[in-house]
Amino acid sequence: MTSTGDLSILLAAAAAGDRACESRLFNVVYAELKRMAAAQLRHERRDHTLQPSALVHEAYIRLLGNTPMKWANRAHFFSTAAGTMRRILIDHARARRARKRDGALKRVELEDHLDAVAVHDAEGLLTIDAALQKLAEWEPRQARVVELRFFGGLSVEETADVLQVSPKTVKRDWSMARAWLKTQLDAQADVR
Amino acid sequence: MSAERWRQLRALYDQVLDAPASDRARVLEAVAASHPELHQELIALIGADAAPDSLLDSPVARFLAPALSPGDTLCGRFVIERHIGSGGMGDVWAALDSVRDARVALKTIRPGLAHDERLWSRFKREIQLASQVTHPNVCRVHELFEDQGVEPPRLFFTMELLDGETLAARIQRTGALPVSEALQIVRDVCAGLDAAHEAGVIHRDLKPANIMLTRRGDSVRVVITDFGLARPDAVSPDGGADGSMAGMLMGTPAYMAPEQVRGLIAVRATDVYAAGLLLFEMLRGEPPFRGISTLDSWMRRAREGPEPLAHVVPGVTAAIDDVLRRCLQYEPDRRFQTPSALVAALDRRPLPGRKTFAAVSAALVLVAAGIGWNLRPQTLPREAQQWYDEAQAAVAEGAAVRARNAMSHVLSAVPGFPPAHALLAEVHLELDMPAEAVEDMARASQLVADGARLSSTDRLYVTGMHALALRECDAAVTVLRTRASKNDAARAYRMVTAARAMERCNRPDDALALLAQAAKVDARNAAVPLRTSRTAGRRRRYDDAFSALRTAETLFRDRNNAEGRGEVLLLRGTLLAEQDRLDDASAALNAALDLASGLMDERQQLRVLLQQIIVVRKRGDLARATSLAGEALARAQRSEFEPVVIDALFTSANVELVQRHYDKAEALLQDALRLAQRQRNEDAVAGARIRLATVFVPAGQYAKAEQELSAARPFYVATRDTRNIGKVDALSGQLALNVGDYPGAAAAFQSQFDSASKEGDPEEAIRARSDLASALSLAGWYTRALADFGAAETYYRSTKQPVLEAYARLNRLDTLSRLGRFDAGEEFTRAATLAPASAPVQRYALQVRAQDALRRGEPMQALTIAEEAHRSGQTAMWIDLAMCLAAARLQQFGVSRDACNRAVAAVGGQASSARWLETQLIVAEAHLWLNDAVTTRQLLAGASVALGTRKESEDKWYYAALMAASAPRDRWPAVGETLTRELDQVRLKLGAGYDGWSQRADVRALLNRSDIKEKMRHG
Repeated sequence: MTSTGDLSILLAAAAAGDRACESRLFNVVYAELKRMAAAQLRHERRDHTLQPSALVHEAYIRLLGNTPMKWANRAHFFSTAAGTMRRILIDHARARRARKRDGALKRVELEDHLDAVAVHDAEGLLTIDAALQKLAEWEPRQARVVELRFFGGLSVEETADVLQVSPKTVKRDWSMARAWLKTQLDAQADVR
Repeated sequence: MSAERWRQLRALYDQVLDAPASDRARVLEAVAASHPELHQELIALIGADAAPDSLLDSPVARFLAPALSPGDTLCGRFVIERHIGSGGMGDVWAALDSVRDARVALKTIRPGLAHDERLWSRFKREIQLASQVTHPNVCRVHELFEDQGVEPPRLFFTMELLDGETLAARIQRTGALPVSEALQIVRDVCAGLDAAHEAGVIHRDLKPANIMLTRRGDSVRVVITDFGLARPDAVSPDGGADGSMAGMLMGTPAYMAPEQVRGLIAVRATDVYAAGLLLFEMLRGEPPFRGISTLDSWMRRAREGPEPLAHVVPGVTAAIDDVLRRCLQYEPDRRFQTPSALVAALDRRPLPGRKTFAAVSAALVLVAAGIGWNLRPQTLPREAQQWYDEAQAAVAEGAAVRARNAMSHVLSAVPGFPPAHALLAEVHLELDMPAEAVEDMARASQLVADGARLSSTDRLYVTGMHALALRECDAAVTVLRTRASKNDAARAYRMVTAARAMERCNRPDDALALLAQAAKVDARNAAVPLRTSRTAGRRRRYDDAFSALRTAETLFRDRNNAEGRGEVLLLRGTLLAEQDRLDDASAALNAALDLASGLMDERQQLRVLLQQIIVVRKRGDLARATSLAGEALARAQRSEFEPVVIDALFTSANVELVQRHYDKAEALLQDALRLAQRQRNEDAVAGARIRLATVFVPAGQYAKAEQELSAARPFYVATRDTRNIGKVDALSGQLALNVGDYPGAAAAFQSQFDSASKEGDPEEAIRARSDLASALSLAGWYTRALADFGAAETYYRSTKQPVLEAYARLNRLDTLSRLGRFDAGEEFTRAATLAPASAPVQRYALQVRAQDALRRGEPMQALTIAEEAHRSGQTAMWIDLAMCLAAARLQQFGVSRDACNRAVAAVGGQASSARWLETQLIVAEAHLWLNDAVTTRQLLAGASVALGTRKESEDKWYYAALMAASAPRDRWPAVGETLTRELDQVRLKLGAGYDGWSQRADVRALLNRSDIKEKMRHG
């Protein structure tokens, strides 16, 4: 297990652009988030009131504790974490869809990813993901806002902080993107 | 979509959201014009913005809540078997219900949905209602569950497990369906809708994706799913989380009815619209109203009907096109009102009674097809006749909504029957929708012009209703009174209609006479006594009204007619409230409300509620009245009955007025006015204007009040509505009094009196006389005023209204006092004992006594009375003024000056009010006695302008005398001449009473002030 100290170095390096460190960081965060999610599902946290938006924040604390760091690195962490969360969910959604299509449970290579994690609304998540990819081509900042807010669970202020834009911009980005994503979801639902 | 387009779209989106809320619709339209290709996207965006529930609002970790897997057990009862699909709301699973040992579909509910309190409670209610629907064409919904075994608890509900494909999938697969199959599917869908409507559920989201075609052996079972569950009501009451648009449409526009898009509430006819869309799509393979853009397709919907399919799709007949056109009418009222009416039209069958089906006869087909009319006058097929009779009875009994529903059955069965349209017009008049009534009659007339043959009875009816709708009263009444030669029951109903026409033409006495005759024609007809009680109540013949109500109640009870009983209770409560018998009124109204709730009659509930608010207000619980009024208004606005909204606005405004919240009251009434203008309801427009005047007058906005009154009066004159003419006059009189135009006020009150006498309303007449007397008295015509006050006193004594009698007597005695006839001295006290419990009367009595004492030259007594009142905690202008003047006469400088200052401070600066003028003059006199002529002159200077605007005032001589008493020598002889002139005026007004008046101690004292006589001698 990477120590907090190591991780913050890793983070700093990744934020500075070191590719190798970036992917190592990703793996660490990925593993942590998945672990947390799985733990949640196994009711290890029954006694705590669920703070669903705080998975990413929790991961942050677990991985990095109270280590003081530059905002650029913190921002980088959250970006990564949000992206990681997205990956986790989409991976699972794909797996679900594959299972459904095949009609029967196929306990194949997919299994090692899954643990006991599964997703609600796989189709919805996949729609969002695909739509987000398109959005990223047209307006990358808006797509990042969605990723940070929806997948990362960040607030408007936090998102503004990470992206270094005004909260108003974030709100507008979010509101429009959310509306557009909803129309995409509705279109998907109608074709059921 | 490209990056460029997205940027454009973003810019437009920002533009719309940056506009203030009231402007947004306009901006949106402007955008539609300038960027039509983006308009559809933009609308969808704005609409989606407002949606409170979306995947994207759920914290993402919620998605990681343990998913169900086959083998999982929920609530220890449901065993998951396999995943079926994902819906807008959550996932659907097939499961085994181990308790019932049957397979069910299990639908989990996305956590986001349960977060919103409002949505959630509505959702639960929908499930509850839907679970009561048992019909083969409706997907059975079982129950809502909460699985506590996981964190967070998982919500789901169970429903029937269906196996098949959706209609959407089927159309996608095979294109348009064969006509017979499409018709059968729509019949089944309508059957299911009917069942749901009976249970009180409207689908609101009917579309091919929500229709399942399940296989049952060889046959197909059509099942409607997702009743109103996935979609909250068409309007989101407040904006989205980011404060975005309120009230915008949500979801896919393509399948929504116009009223849903416009943000109005969904009604049964909304589902009918959707059924029409369904039928079209099945026949054509694609939905109707395809336009180049969304805007284009919306314009088509509003302006045109659907594309005719008769020559485009083989097998589709003109009749089917007719049905489609009717289903897809823009206004809900013009569609089939129920799904079964749609089916009946498709099958061209007369509408069956609730459970039975009738055979189709050749004659019926002919009638429906409009052939053969030229041979005999048109009559109704038997089933339609039953509905027609039902409608007629309902109209007469005042159950307008029931009548309207019955009429829709008639009209869908036989759309070309003029008397049916005439009856519908009658219904609309009962519902306070006069503009619709006119349209109904236009249709009826058109049918007659096109060659419909009517029996003579029916022709009279249609002609009479036509005249009535256009307010040609005399013609209407003459025609409608003509005897119908059918059976007694029919004759009695016609007489009730004629009586209602008379009432509408403001001839209530004629109406009562006719109703008395009707009672003899058919003693079992409950509509007659009901109508009688209403008319008698209007004329304040309460005994007659209550007795008629008792009769009506018995008759309704015998027939088990709950609506009629409810109407009786409402009317009884209303009349009791008028008589201030508030406890009894409450009891009756509560019972009425229970009945109305039981019948789920929203309109009736609202009418009762509005009446209850009046009772609460009369009890003095204004806070409660205000909050109830707010609730009623909100409910009324949600209902489909626009006239009720106007009534609710009137009631709310009245509650605010009583609390002197003039601005609020005005705002509500302006809303009512606009609404009434939009509905082209002239009665309501005039009503709103009068009420606005009643707000403007006490608020001091006299010009505005004048404006409203002059706008309202012509309408009432034209409709010969003497009662309301009287009301306008009463307000005009008040207005005139307030601005000091006493002759004008007197004229207005005289006119009010004339109207009331003509109307035969003695109560109103006496009120007018009292006000007239006040105006006369203020103008100095004491002798004339005396007679009128006396008449009022006598009247109130004979009608046993002690409080009003006391006031009238005190006014009379006060007038005698002004005339210097003090032989009624101790009577003041006796007058007060008429109504010992009424504090206002007691206060008024003290006031009159004090003023009388001053006139008699007994300032000591006046001072004592004033001090007594002051000590007992009363605060009123007259107390200070009495003390000011009395103390001055007694040379008690300190007391006088304090009292005078208090009075001046209290009256403030409203120079236009009569009070202000009175204060100035009295304080001026007081200063005269305090030998402070300088102040007197100052005060008089201030008063002169105000007095100049008064046309005829009892104070003119007073002012002149004070001027004369305080004027410096160089103002003589001018002031002396003025005084002489004014005294001549008084002599003119009082005639023989002048001597008594001039011998009044206070008058003598003022005139005899040596200065005056001296000056006059030297003048």
